[in-house]
Amino acid sequence: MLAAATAYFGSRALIAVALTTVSTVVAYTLFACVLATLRGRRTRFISPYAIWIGMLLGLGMPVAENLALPIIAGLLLGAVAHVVGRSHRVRVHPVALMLVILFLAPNLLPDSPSRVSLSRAITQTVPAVLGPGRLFIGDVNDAPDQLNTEPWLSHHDADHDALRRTDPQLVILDERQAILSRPDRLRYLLSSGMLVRFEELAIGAAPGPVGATSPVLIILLGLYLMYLRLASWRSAVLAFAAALAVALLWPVQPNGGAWQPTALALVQLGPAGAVTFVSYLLFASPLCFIVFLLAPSVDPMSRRGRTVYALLNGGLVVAALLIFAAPEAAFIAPVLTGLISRPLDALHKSPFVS
Amino acid sequence: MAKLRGGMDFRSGTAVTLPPPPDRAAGDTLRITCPGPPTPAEGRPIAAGDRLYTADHEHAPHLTCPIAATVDALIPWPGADDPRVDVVLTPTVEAVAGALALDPPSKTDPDAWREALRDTGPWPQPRLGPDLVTQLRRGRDRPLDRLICVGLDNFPPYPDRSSIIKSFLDDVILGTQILGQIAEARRAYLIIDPKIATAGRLRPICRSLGVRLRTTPNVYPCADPTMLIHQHGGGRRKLPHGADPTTVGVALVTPWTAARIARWLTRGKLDLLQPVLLAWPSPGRVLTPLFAFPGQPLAMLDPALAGRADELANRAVFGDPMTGHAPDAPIRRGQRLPPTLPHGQHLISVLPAAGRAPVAPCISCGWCVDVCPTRLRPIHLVQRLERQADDPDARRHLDYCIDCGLCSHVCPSSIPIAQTLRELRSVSGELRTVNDEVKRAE
Repeated sequence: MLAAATAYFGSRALIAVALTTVSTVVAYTLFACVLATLRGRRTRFISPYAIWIGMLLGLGMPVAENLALPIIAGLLLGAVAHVVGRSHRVRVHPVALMLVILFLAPNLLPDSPSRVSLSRAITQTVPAVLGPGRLFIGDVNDAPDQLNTEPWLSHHDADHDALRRTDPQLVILDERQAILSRPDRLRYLLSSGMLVRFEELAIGAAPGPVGATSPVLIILLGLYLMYLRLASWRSAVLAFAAALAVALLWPVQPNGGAWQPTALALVQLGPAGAVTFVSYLLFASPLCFIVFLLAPSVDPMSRRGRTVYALLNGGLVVAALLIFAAPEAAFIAPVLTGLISRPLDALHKSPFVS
Repeated sequence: MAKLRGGMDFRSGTAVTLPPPPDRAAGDTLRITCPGPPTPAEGRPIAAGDRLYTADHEHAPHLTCPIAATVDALIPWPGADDPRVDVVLTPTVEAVAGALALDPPSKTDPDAWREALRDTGPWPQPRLGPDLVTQLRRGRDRPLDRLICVGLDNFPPYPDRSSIIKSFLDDVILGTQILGQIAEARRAYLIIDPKIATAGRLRPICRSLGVRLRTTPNVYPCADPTMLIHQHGGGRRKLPHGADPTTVGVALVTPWTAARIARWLTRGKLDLLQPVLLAWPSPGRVLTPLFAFPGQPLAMLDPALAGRADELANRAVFGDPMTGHAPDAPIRRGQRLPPTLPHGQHLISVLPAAGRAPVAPCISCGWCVDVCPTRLRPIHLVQRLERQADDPDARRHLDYCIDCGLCSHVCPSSIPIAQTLRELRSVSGELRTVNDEVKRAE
């Protein structure tokens, strides 16, 4: 996944993930040493868990121009991982919590510098520039001086064969109302290149978080985790079913008319249009990243609890996306469901003990 | 299901055919463990079939001497609270009979059978509950609804009970019918793996003798009494782990007990040799069947089992690798003696050489919850009981931990969950006794 991200996003992606991982491990180890001294226990110098969550956070964040963001995020994660997580009383995934904090904190402080805001970082200078016929691999900011980078950073212009790619997550969320109101809007977004093609989205050739943009890679990794029995296929299926149900039942007001479920509004798009819209809504979002990588790490211990957890997770991811109209808002779902993960363990009852 | 260390997994093994019990066996020195002070004194001769130990309790089984021998030594077990004594028997002849010529009681007289069984004890039913004599006695106080001959293997990869059924098919069914009559149970059942039932001969014989045949896939740990009674007890009977099955109106017997009774009735000889299956961790050589006297040193069964009890602790277990217990022996001249074959023990598992992974903190993966056959939450139970050993709710759950060891086996953090629960059970039992005494005193 990291190799694919490096190929599509350039060395900056690799540097960002590496910085996040290193800072996470440093902070985690420091805090572990402090806690071990206070508690009088021995500790490992480098924990594989810290490396894993550091990499996950790095892959879950977009490539920002300012590399201070991954360092700060990694340091915070290293500290937070000692308080929340699978083996702690609060069974919230620390990476999900960090992404929510990074998303919410700047928005709660109106005077904060815009660089720290994840959602704004995405919409600012996009380091991934892809052309339908000509592929530029790397950061356009690092392009040699003799190259004219102006067209690469400009908005879509039919006269140029290279165009600036916008995050499909943001496009689909911003344009949702318009797509449901005007049947030709989705076709226009696709034909004009404003919305990346689905096959490009599937392999991750689209702007967004470096490790979360390729559903194919995430699903493959998820299947491997299922093979290792670290994740449950039932939970994944239930989460997707819940996400689909919420996406179809979410009330919308097309053309400013009466409220109706999205499913009804989709009728006017036709079967192909409806499937395309729902596919973009689900697969351009961090749903796969959450369902396959984050949620299994903090799910309840009982099968019944996992069912409830998976349904809530899938439903809340789509609900949060549609309410906040921001991709990072999806991470609110695993944080909320993580809070009830431990109480859900109690749903497991033995028939022998009445 | 994950593989066991050494390449063995939980899939059912192939039952082997045991040879017929030999009429005569080599006269080796035996060391038999008596539950209390033995009847003969040191240096005295004793005949085959004589009483080696006389039970204190009116209805507990006595212990029969299997060979004509001289009592060479009496070795008490260490510990002031341990009443066990090992009797060393040196045979007086080079070859000894494998069975005792003894007339069986009349088939229709349950009281005579009970008395005869008590005299020819001990008739243990390992992993199924109290010995046969005790179960039959308790069955008189609380009428038995059903008697079940458990043909399911305690550990499917090592099919010890299936092998006995395969080898003594008719005897097992006849014995089950007789035991059903002795126990005055309303119904007698034989529960086996479907693979054996397809042999074809079983069903008509069972039908003709009035024994009900039940087949169920041999999946670990379905042969545990708690699981068996939950599945085959009829109604909603719940048997706590280690409890007497007669308390819920069921008697449980092993196939060898049934076969031995039938062979006694049909041949007029009571088998003294018992079948033993040595289980090996290598896939090519799984079970070695043989017959041995109880009290025979393990080294006589196979050279791989040579050594003192403490040396064998990590190399072999009585029973299966999941629930078996390490061989034990009394101490003599400051050294633990080599272990001997206990009464009724049909399976000895040789363990693969495997290192123990370091214990890591619980990551709440829930694997122990997923595999728990009684659907407990093992790691939660450990945490609760470690916080408060006399937590009544946790203790109630602990009663239904069947000690199958699956939770420890699957734990990715290598936490010894089952072992901890076993220790906590003994602590909990002691606390319960103390609490009961305090209540009584109040």
